[in-house]
Amino acid sequence: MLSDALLKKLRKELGQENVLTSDEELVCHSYDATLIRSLPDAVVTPRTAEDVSKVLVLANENAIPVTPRGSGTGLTGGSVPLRGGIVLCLTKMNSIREIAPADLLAVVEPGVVTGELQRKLEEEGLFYPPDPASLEISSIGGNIGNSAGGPRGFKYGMTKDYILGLEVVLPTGELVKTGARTVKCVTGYDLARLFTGSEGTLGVITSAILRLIPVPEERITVLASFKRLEDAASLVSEAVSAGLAPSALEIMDSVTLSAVKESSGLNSPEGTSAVVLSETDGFSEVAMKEAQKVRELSIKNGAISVQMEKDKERREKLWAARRGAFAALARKKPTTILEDIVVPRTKLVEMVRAVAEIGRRHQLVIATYGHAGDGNLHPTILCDKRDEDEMRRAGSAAGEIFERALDLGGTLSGEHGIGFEKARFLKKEIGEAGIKIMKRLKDSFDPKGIMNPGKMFE
Amino acid sequence: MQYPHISAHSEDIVRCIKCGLCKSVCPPYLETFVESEGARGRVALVEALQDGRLTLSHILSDRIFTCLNCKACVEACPSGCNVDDLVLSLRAELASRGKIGLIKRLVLNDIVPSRTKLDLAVKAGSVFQRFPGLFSMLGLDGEGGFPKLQGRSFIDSHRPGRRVRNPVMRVGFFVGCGTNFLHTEAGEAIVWVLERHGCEVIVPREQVCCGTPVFNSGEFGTGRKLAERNLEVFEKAKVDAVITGCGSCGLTLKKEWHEVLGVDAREFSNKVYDFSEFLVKELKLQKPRRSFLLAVTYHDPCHLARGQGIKDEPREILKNIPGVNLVEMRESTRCCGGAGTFAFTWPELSRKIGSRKALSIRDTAASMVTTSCPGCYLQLRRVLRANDIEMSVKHVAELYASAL
Repeated sequence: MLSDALLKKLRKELGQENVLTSDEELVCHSYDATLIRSLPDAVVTPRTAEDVSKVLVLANENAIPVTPRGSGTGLTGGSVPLRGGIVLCLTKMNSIREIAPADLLAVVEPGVVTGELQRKLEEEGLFYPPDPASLEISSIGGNIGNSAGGPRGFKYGMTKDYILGLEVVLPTGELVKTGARTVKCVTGYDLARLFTGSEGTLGVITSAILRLIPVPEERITVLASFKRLEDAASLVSEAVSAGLAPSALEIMDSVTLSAVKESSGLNSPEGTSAVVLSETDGFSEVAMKEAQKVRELSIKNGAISVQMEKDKERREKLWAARRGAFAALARKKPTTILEDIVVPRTKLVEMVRAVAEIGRRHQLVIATYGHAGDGNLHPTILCDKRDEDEMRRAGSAAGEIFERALDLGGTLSGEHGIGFEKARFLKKEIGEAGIKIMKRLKDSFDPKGIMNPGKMFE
Repeated sequence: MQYPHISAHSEDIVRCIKCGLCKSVCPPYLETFVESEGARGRVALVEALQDGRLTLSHILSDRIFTCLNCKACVEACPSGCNVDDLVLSLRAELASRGKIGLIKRLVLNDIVPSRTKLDLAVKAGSVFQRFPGLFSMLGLDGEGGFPKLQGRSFIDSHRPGRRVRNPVMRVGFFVGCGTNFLHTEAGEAIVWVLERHGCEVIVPREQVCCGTPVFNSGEFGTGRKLAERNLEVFEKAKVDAVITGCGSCGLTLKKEWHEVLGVDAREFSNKVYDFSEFLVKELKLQKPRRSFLLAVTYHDPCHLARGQGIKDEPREILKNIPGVNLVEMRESTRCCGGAGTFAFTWPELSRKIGSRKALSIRDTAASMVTTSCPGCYLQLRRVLRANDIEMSVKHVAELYASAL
């Protein structure tokens, strides 16, 4: 698809080592963390925004598809080059350009690994809250492209809440700067917000100004075990209505717990069928008061045990068990399909029950855990990709889970994005008119449709 | 095309869910940020080869040989994929088709397995080394900084004899090539400490390389021969336990002869101990007479910490020495980039990985770094020097011996 002349030009402009076309490199850029696979024709690794601009101009002139990619850990096929063309791999643009403690901001390139950035910031007493489970390897660029979130989303929001400004290269090669180094900025359309979560369909982010906050003084973790899922869910809604704002409010169902129990030190009493793991933070007194409130409410809602931990190491143990949920499940079966639905908090129990019922009907093991505080659940289907029949059943189950979430007034994706996996369900959520206006927007940025084709829209 | 070595591990290919978490701990990936230089990329390459989408090309060979076999990916993998086995199986496919360089093949299959040839080669090397011009003409000294070869190996110079009255145990010392030719002081310290703790120490002269560098390059057949030869030698020695001071030898003797090479060595393996493990678990640590005022840090060898799960024992020995203050470095279990022959075959990458280690050592402000592997010992010396950091490097046994 890419002519020799074009490749030669790219090599001349970006340097031999930044244009890869061997079969081996192509294979290594044909996947993300889903089962979707598609080979690119070339992998280009730009070092600067100018490089990105040169690539996009050439691609646009020749109508070559361009798929931006960070660490390739997405869960929707978003960075898989469905139509071939160029994978624009931004991992080498990974410098932290500036950390400004007084202005509470950082300026970073897209390839910076989120966890690495958080560690550097913490050394300066600064805090960048978005915490996707993949943060040890996923990149800021990818996080912005999907507006990633995590357990802390309930109190602190997600990536889109921490973007002050972006530098973006458009398919025409123009460099657009949007937003500012200030918290307040209402000059014109909020393009930074539009690019955040745009999944590489509008342009390529080459730099971001991130909003930071100071590191909270204290963190306290509370683990409450319940006999009934309903009790766990009612703790969640009562805590929220009581005005508490834990930085995380996580729920795990019995399937998840049985997997986690085997591999971690999570000590829940016999007969536990759901747990709520929460964390409060802030100034010591506030964090403690809030944690005690969570404990009181847990007991009021029938918790059979409540564990409260202040010590960093012991807190870490509890969170390791939560983070290890996915791993524990992944070891049960070779293939895991991880979904990402959100429902209104009041519908949490109904949704968890529905998932269990769908699993039973399709003879599948589906574990449900997730960020109960914001209604974001991750039903995880355990299967084996070599078993065609099972995969077919998993596919229908996933479809039914989406339908049910939408019926309950929820949404298809809380923090993973649409990509390819959910493109066919998008219309159901946003309607014909919604699709139309989104497509018109896309056309005005990317008239030739070179940016990440095949994603988001069917 | 059939790939029997890979097929034996096809379950691991299926297990990889491509989450990418392994990349966050993969040393070559973290230096290059190129997917094919990282653990997940390597699994994808093996998978594509098995499916017939790739062939055993030079590029594939390069990518599979930039793996250090540090096993950090295996530890990080949520779904339990044995990336290390997949990498070795692909190397075995390359080796079984003769796709390993001629000189390397000769060294691995002809020189390393033979005690006399290896001794001779090292002796010749140590003579050559006095004439740097000649040495570099052979392409042996480059950026890697080839280690100083000892003219007389440990086994050659070791005189059995110090008599231990009423020994508590009769133990065999598995010397290993690194200790034998490059860090003989560690070997002497280990024997001395064991004797001081009441052990009769046997050093069988006929022992050969454990096979780590051989089967890590895919030469499983020669690896098997080495395992069998060593089994025979130590069987004859009639010892209660076999001690090694090298993380990689230990892992190979304990697990890999059996698990990678399929040699039934389980009975023997049960008797194998790392030096620090043996001292702490089987003997009683003595309180040294001498004391130092010394800040010491400890680097965990990959094949000891992850390979054998031994992290506490060496630290216990260090803390037991009066006046020694153990200061932990950042990421003490992160690979130093030595990885045996890797330091010479991929000098630039090895240096980059090592420099990261050197900086975390520097930041402890300790005056000595200790470790439990001759390979790490050499690499640490090299990268500290390359980064202008003046600090002494010692095997844990050496420091302990000097205090006893």
